[in-house]
Amino acid sequence: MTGRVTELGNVNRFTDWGSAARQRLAQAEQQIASGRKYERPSQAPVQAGEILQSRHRLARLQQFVRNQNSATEWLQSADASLQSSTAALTRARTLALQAVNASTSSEGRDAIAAEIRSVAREVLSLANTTIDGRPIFAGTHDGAAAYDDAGQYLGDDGAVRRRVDDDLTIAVGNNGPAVFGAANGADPYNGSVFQVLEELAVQIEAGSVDGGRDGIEAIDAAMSRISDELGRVGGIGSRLDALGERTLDEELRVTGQLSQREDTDIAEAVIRLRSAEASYEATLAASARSLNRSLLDFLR
Amino acid sequence: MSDFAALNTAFTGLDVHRRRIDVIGENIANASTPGYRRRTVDLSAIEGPNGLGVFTGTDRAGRGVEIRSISRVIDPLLEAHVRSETSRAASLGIQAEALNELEANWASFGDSGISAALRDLGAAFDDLVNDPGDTAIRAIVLQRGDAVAAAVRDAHAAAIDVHNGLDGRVDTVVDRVNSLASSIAASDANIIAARAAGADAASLEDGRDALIDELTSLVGGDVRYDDNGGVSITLDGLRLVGDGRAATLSTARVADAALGVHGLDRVEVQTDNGRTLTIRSGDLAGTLDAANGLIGEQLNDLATFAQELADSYNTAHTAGAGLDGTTGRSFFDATGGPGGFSLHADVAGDPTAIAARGATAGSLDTTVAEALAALSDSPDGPSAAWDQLVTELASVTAGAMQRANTAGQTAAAAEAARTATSGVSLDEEMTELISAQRAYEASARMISTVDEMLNTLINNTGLVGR
Repeated sequence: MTGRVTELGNVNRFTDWGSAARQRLAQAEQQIASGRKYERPSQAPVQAGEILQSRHRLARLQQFVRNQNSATEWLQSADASLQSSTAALTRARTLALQAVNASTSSEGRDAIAAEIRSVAREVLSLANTTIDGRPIFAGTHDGAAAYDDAGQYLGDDGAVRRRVDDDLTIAVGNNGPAVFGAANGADPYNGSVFQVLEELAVQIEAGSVDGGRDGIEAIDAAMSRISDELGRVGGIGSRLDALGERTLDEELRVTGQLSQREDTDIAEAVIRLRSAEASYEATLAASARSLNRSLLDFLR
Repeated sequence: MSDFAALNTAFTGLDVHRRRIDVIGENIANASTPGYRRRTVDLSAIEGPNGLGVFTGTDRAGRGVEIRSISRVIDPLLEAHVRSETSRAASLGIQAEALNELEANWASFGDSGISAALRDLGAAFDDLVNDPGDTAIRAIVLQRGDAVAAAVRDAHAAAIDVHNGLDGRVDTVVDRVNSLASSIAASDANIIAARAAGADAASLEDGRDALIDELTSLVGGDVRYDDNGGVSITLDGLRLVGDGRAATLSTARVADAALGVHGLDRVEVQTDNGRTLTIRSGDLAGTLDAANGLIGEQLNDLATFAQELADSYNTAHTAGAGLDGTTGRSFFDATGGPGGFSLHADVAGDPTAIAARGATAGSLDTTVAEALAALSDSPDGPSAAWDQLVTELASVTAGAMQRANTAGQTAAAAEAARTATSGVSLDEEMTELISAQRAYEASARMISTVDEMLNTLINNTGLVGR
């Protein structure tokens, strides 16, 4: 700088100062009006990356919540269906115990056999439980039912999974044979629960005490399979509850984090606005005063 | 010596100081005219005849005052500095502007554009996992896929727009440069003539300097002033202006391998005999760099990303089977580059064609849908790749803006230094005005004093004692 103060220099300088101050003011106003700290990523490339991360994470967590809800729905249906199946099989077992009792008449045995067949139909309908028309014990089969009326399994052994957390995918449905037993043509008592009940009814009609006793054992085996599945479903369910809470916690945390990263801190922004206003006014006042002043004011 | 010589001396004072007041008036009038360089009046005493002697001279040293010259106050070093800094700032400014425009179209905080579209597609695949047989959800997957494709095409179109804007700008700038160069050459002739005739060429020179300022801010160039008042401007070995003549630049579109893949041509500036000029600074350099370099690089990145995006989705998708059990369908079609990016014809318009299940698995198996859903949050998936691309673009833009800003400040400082030297200070002019006014008054008083002396001599001689 040569130190000469010139008119044009003054004008340029005050214009620059004024526009710089006005820009700071506009930026503070913009932050408050939009509620966002940054208008575009280049204002803060590092923070932009973090904001992207938070936003993706949030969407991910929301998806996990949706997946968890779907999983819970499946598990609850399975649970209800399995509980009812257990109750039905317990009734079949009581009936079978009655039938093997020597005092039961042949008419009584026929009645018991008929009732056991109705229990079998009840269990069959429970095994065909659906969600939105999709049978939950049919694996990845796309038919309307897991079992046909004859108790023949229609589904496959594909797994129905839900991704409920970053590294956690759970199987929500199970295939019919794993729960209700696999069909066995040669030895019905080692076959599916429907075969067991039918064979039991046949044996009771025939008045075979041994056949009835074997049937009771077979029912016990079927019930223990179902209760194993109940245990699995309950275990996953409680894990899912805990996970659900954790996911919601994280969702809250990430929402807070995202807001902290991209939302304007209003108090801070207002203070900045005030200070920008003050500096703008001061710049204007200073230039107004300085631009007015010249030797002309003092010459007569 | 003659008695009237003193009158003449006083008259030169009157004349010179009136001229000084004129010049001060001109300075004051132009105090805030951009590009005006203040004028100063160089005075010198009129020397008497050489030597003192009986025959040759007189005992007087001088015969008044004269104006040696009225000159513009100008510091060639500062002028050159202002020009080079302004030209550099202009170049960086254009590049920052181009990147900024691209960023506005590409980058977001994940709430719009490709980033959001990919996230939505991932969510749609997740919903498909939850209900793989639902054609409504399958239709949503297709819509979301289409939205991703549209976002990629939009990003490409935006980059092409920026390139075309820059490309067109080159023509505009070159036209302006040509018209400036010929104006400078024309005023050169006037200045040389005026100088030779001893007339005041200052205003002409101010005008020409303003033209040169604009020219150098557009293309840079080496400015040299000749002794006769002419100017020559050299640009990468081409004499753009010299000897009162101006060369004409033209633009050319040249096929270029790197830009060709995006359907673009390289834009170049050539001399009238077809030599390509390397423009190193100024608006034009920035425009050329941005059009031929920056945008091309970003388009390359976009093309690589689009290919990766299509590959990653297709690899997973072709392995699976649609509801009808057919395998080997692609999801995205990137054969047309990012500009023609679309859903693949295999799946477009047919929601049942989306592969959710493994090739040999049950029809409601979701292995493939799970893999496709996982792509959206995989750390080396397309979503992460796009985020990285955008963050890098943001960094590059921030860097370019920072550099442009600094260059702008340096240019402003150079301009301030020039104004401090060449600008008008009213206080200074006022002081000068007082001094000129007083000198004028004193010269007038000198004339009346001589007049009184002559009056005494003419009218009162011989009246002593009367």
